[in-house]
Amino acid sequence: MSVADGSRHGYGIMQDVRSRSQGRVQLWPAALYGSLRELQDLGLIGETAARPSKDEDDERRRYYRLTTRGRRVLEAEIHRLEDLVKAARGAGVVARPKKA
Amino acid sequence: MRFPDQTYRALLRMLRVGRSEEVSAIVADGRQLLADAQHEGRAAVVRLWVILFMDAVRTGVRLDVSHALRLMARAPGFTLTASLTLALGLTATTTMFVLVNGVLLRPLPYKEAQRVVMLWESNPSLSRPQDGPSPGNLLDLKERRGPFSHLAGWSTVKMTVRNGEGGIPVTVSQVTDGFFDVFALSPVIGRTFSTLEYRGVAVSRGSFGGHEPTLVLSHRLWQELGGDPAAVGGMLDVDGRQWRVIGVMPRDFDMPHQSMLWIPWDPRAAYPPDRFPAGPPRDFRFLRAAARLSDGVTTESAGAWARTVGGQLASDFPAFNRDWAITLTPLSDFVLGRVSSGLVALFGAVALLLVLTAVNISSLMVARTLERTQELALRKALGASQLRVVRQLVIEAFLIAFSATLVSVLGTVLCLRGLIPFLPDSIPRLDELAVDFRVIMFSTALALLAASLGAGLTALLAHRSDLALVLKGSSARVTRSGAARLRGTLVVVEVALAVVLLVGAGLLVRSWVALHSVDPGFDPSNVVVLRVSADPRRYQGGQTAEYFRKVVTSLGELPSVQSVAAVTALPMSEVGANFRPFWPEGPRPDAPSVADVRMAMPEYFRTLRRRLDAGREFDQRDTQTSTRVVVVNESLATRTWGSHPPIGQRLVLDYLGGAYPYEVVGVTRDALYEGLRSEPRPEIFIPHAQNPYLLMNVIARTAVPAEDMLQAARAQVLSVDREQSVHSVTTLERLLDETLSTDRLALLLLTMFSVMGVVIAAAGVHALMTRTVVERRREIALRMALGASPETLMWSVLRESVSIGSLGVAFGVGAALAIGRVASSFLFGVMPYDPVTLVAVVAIIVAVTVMAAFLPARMAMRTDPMSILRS
Repeated sequence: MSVADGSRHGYGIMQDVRSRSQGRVQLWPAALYGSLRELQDLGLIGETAARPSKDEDDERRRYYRLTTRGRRVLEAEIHRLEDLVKAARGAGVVARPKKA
Repeated sequence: MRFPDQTYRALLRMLRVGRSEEVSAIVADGRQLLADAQHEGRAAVVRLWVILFMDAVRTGVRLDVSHALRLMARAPGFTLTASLTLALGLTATTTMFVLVNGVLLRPLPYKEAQRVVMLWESNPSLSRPQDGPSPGNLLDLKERRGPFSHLAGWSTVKMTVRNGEGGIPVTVSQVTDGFFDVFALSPVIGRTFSTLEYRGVAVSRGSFGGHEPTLVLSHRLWQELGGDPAAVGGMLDVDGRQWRVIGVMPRDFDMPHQSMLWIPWDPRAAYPPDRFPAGPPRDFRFLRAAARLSDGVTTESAGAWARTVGGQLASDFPAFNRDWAITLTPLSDFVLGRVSSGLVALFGAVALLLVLTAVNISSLMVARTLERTQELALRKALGASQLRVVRQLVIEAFLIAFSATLVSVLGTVLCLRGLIPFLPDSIPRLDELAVDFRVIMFSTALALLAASLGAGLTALLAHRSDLALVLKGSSARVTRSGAARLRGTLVVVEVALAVVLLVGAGLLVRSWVALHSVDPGFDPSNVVVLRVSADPRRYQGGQTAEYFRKVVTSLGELPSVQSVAAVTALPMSEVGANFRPFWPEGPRPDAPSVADVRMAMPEYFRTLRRRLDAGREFDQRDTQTSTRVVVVNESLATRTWGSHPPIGQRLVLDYLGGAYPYEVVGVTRDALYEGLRSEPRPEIFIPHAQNPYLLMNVIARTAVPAEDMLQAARAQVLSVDREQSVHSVTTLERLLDETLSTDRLALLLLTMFSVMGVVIAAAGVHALMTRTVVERRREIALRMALGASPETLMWSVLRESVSIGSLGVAFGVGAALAIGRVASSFLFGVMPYDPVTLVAVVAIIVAVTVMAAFLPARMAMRTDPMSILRS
């Protein structure tokens, strides 16, 4: 999801995941790159050559973005989860989300 | 704080977490994270370092493990065989470890148990190394006390606890004051006896020193009675008398073994001065005694004290104590006794089996490494470091070890559940056995050790496989021949270990057969046994004899009962006979011989089918007023009168109440009283009518299986007098069988181990020969093409297999002979180098190796030379 709206480097993904999960999920670099490699091997994400301007960049960083295939898998997964949640609500397994 | 770039990078590299450009990216991110953490202070930085380190290690191991799992999934046959073989060996070993750990290794539950010693009286000239102290000598020891803070004696009796309808037969320990202090274990509920509560108590005399009878319950009996804490303070009916329950001992207090309740005992009250003017007897050595060393006293100095006091007792009372010394042994020896050497030996056997399994998986792993020589060489050529290749092998080995451990822990739980009912009661602390953390650690450690052996050997191979040559294909052969030799050696070791196990099992089988062909001197089949104890308050002297006469008559009225009698101590029963001095009529010699003395009722020998060689049984003629008569056994007759006919001879027996002359009226053949391994001892029988005893073993020979008569017999005895206690109703065959339970267990386990060992070794031979045939298929094809017959080829494979088997047999038999000396104490009627066993083992192993090689040999025979030579 982190790389859906554009390319991100490893550290960026870590920050993004942390803020999205309100600090509940923290990825660490070695494990993260292991997962990135797996996703790459599955063809869900790819490395991009596009890099930000020189002064913001660190040459050792690597940037990743979602591939078309990856986007389709992501969408399918989100639909699946939505259906699951819907089914669960219908069965009364979970309460309706509280209105904030 | 500076980020340790280089260290982090080296770590990531070593763990091969990613490609080098990924490593750079990870390091960069790590540095960024550290910069963030700097703001939060030093602690946050340290925490981050730890996290990054763990993260790297976890990822690295995860990658390796998943790689290894993929490889193993590609070779399911290897993975499954290796894991299951190892699991099998581990299960057997772990199960034995649970036994050894639970029974032997765990410390006794008493505070500073190593400071508790057992006290014995020993007389080497009579070959009596460990008799319990006599009441008189025990009192002297207690008075002197010397290096001990507490010293106590005890004996056990059987009683019946009446609980509502039924009665529970229980082992009751009569203990002298200080008993609970010796073991220094407090009751879980209530208290133990006060000094006053011991005074004057002797239940055998019906004496309670004027106070209320009190008792302490074992945890087990307390549970059986409902486990109500309020039971303490309440009353309990034991042998028809009301006792006040004052305490419950902890669960693991098992002194003496299987004691269900404890009652006080005062030797002075048991042997009152009006009947024993010289004080409690000094030559009835039936008690057990233990003492706790005072602080700062060593076992050695206590031993020296015991020698001194023993010497004094011998010179003060030479009539009873001449040649008797006082000796000490550690409490653990007493508690664990003979069990310990047997368990250790079985554990040794199972350790052999585990080594065999480890060798087997090593040979499997070596074979697999051989198959992967190309792959490994390629990986090295592609830049995988030596370390990484080895690490891969180690991880694979450990994964196998891990899965084997899981299976074996489960297997151990199941095995224990199946095994415990077969374990003899004589093994102490059985109910405390459990698979605990220590056991799991043990199993894991063994698995890792076994895996390390395999991994070590394969790593060695991998190291030697020189990649350039292997890739060229030329040196594959060189490496392989070394590896093949290694595999051959491993299989020879497997066969040798299997031979050792098989020889052990074979010797036990031979011992078992020998034990069963021993003639015990009586016929144990179809005999009902009942222990009947008459209440001393109700029956005295002649009344006791009358009561037992009625019991015997009443039992004889049952249909299908052929004959009935009673005796004080039966063969195989836990109550021994009295051990007394006697001599041919005349003055008392300096060192009289000793004999086991038993009181028997008429028809005893007929009922037991114990042959009388001369003279007669006891009968109605023998009464309290008639001439004192005895029946003796052959051993005694030959030792005392040589070839003179013993009938009509007179001997003096020093028995309770003094030394009187007796006339020999019968001679019976020898019998083995303490199990089939025992030696016959001199015996004297006295008619029960002339010396009435309160506690008798009543025996009835039946025309139908004795098992079917137990209930009826018990009811019939109770019908004579409901108030008297009848318990331990069983059959003589069962009693005899129980003496063999340890032998049976050892035989069962060792046979299982050796069968497993032979199967594993056979699998090893089979795998090796299959591999050999596959590797040599070109040679075989060539020979075939040159006209060798299929039979010749098959024979050549079988020959090779047999030669491996023979090497294994040679080493194995050598090892078995070396170990045999240790094992000889477990054998009966067979030598450790028993040729029959050795020949049988050799035959079995040769047959098994031939069978194991049969399929590969047939494969060689069916080789199609053309297709192979063309390929």
